[in-house]
Amino acid sequence: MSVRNNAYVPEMATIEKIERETNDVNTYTLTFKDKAKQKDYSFAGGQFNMLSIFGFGEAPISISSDPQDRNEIQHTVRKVGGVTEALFNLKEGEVLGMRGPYGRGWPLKEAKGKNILVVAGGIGLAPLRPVITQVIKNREEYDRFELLYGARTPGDMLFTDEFDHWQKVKNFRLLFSVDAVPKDQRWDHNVGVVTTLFDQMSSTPSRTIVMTCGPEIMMKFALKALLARGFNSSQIFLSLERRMECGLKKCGHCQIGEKYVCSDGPVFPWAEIKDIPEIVGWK
Amino acid sequence: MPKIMDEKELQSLLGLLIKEYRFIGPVRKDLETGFGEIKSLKELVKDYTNTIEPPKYLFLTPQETLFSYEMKKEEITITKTEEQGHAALGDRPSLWSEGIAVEPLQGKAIQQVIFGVRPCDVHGIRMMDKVFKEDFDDTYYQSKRNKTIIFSVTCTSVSDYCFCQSWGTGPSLKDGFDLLLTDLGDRYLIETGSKEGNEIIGKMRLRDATPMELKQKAAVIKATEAKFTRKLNIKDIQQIMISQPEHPTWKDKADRCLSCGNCTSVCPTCYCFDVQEKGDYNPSNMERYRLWDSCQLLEYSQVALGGNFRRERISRLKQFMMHKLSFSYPQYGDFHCVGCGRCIKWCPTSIDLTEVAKDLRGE
Amino acid sequence: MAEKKKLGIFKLTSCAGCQMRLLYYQHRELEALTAYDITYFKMGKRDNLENIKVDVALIEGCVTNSEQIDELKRIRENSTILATLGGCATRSSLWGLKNNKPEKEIEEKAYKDLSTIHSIKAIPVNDVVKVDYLLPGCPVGEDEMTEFLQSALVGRRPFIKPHSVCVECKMKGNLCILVAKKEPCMGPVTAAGCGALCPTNGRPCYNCRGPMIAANAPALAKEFKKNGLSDEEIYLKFTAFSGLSKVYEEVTDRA
Repeated sequence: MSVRNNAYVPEMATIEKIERETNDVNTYTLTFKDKAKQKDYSFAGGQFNMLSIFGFGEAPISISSDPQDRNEIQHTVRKVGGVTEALFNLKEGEVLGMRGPYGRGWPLKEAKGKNILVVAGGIGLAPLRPVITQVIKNREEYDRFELLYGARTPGDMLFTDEFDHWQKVKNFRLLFSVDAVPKDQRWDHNVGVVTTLFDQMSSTPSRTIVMTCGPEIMMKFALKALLARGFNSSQIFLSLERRMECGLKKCGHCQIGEKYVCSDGPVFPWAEIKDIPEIVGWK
Repeated sequence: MPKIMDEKELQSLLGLLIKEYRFIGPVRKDLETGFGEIKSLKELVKDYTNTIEPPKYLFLTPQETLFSYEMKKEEITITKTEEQGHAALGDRPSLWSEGIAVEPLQGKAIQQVIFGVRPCDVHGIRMMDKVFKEDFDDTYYQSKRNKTIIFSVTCTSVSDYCFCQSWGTGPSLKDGFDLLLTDLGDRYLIETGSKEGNEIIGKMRLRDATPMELKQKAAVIKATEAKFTRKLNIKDIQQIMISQPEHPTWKDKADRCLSCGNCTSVCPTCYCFDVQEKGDYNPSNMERYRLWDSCQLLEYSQVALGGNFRRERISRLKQFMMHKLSFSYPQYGDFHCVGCGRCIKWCPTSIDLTEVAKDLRGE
Repeated sequence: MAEKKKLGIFKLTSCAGCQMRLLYYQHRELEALTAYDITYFKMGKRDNLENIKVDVALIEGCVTNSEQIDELKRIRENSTILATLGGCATRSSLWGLKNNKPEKEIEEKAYKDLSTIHSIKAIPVNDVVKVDYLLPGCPVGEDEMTEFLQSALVGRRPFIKPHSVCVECKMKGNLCILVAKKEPCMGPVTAAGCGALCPTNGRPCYNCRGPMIAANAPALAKEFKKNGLSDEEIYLKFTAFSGLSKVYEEVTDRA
């Protein structure tokens, strides 16, 4: 068997561009060294790749770019552990390993003709950016779109330079909130955890698909608030985070109940996971 | 057609296998019996109920290299991948085996025979085959598994820990073997379950078993079945295991649990592993390797920034037992428990999953 | 060839066995010691440079007098990565045995003339300065030391196993002597990294590496008691190398 057929061996990819998003978040634009591989590669928003920083290790990172752009792949990464720290030491032009995409993405098909509500916290907006770009590009296929986005401080907000563009899209509503505003920063929006935005939200359970990603504690509160407002368990989709060593349904780490987050998820309809013993407490 | 062989013929068959294959069989390990590589028939242990360790280590090596690579400025070359050679328990990168002579086996996986695999463990291998096949092929597991002949032996003795009977995964076996031996007292019945098995037996001139001898085999099995003391009621077990996460039996067991990971290590169907990077004193030579991991360990469910989804000991214990007796079924169509009883026997504080299942059922 | 990383190996109160381990580094000693530019290693070389910046500092031994506190702080300021080398530096190890008696009583036992002796309680290195990595063991585990020295070369976080010795013991296919022979093996509560050296050679683990994370000490102590150990014996098992470790508090309080 050749290296090619070995699911554990990554392909080489070049860092084309590094953009600083916040103090501890960068967006990396990558292309496979193998042009044929780049051409063949396609993904859905919400899926992830395993990124190898050679000499340091491998980590699952969600894809943040536009699925229709077949020329490059973007990852928006927060510096949180050994592997991401090592990634932050790499420069443009350097090489890393990439394999994927893995998992199940956001339900953009189910959302066709319906309203979309996105609830995101912090780095959780990264895997949802493909949804936003897709809805903008295919605006006529979806109805109203609303984004509730919260971060720790104004300086921790991702993709701020795209907000202006998003604001201008027809039937797009964006609501922002931060937990706290440092003295030297200006802030014209809500202050409080992201769920405090629910009172200003215009989305209703009627014909709406909800997609949420963020810290688990935030998703728990968002879920409670949504269920209380009459959203049902099959219209709420969550992206879960678990430890992963392989992405191939082998290493076992990402299991919750009978689900493998790496292949059954990371995006789950609430209906599918709500009865799992480890999750039951969320309600 | 099942055949009949006498002691002498069995000895010559085993002798032939030892000569032609890498031969793994039950050997004496201190007070107990465990699997080991055998070079001479004399090393083979016959009077054992089961081995300390399940045979999974032969396919999912405790620690193995996934690939090595060389880093030069902007060029990274992957220099070595599978197929990996076989592993013996205790194989370590150089220094690990200080004080003990262990020869790591090099090169490609060679044809091997495992003799004396008990029916429960054959089922364990069948389940692991599925795990390492589903969705993505695991070439490291498969390259070794594909070159292995399974020579199973019907059980005639039962330990206090055995409960395979409850699952139907023992003491006898219907398939999953290449060769199956049953001791009829003064003769042996030998059956083949694959082309490879047929080829091996075809070389010997053995007579067919008579209907009487087949009846004798059934009697041997029946006699063994009568010896079981431990039972697990598997009716509705999938639901029963997860229905009462607040039942006091969980806390009772968790207070005793050492989180040492012994249960998962000795489980024939536990497959979790960790992946790590390893360097050299020449920093451009690197390798990625994997090693056994366990849901009982605190770091198992830890993610970046110290987040941990199973910080409580009780949640880790539940994960092990619920996975075995509930979650695995919807995942793979099998309950990942074969009733070998090793997790009970080798738990330093004797935590017993059959007892938990009983408590949850309210028996 | 880029400049080699600078490595300093410093000694506080210890038996020097861990430095010995580094010198008597089985198969890899030359490789290990030539991969670095060793600036300070009194046991290993003649010319030693004090008070210079190093990339990696290894500290052997714990603090038992106040001068050592200043010395340690100085080393910390001068080093990028600082790790303990062995059990004494990590949690005062055997020196910690004196900590539950008045200092003077201990001094009188050891010295005739007390006029120049100003000892203090045995303090592990990480109670005095920030430590990046703890490498426990008596002596330090050879594999773990290898992993640390190799990873520090490239700046990778070393893989320090936080789990029990049992995991390594099972990976070797050993017979469990705690279960099969009722030997008082500390493996289930002791941090791995030694390759289960003692149990592999048929001897019970004696906790020289100290507690693993999430150790359930009371449960093991109960098991020892069932197997016939006295409270005093159990107390000694849990305190010999770990002092009055917080993780073992429940066991050590009871005795």
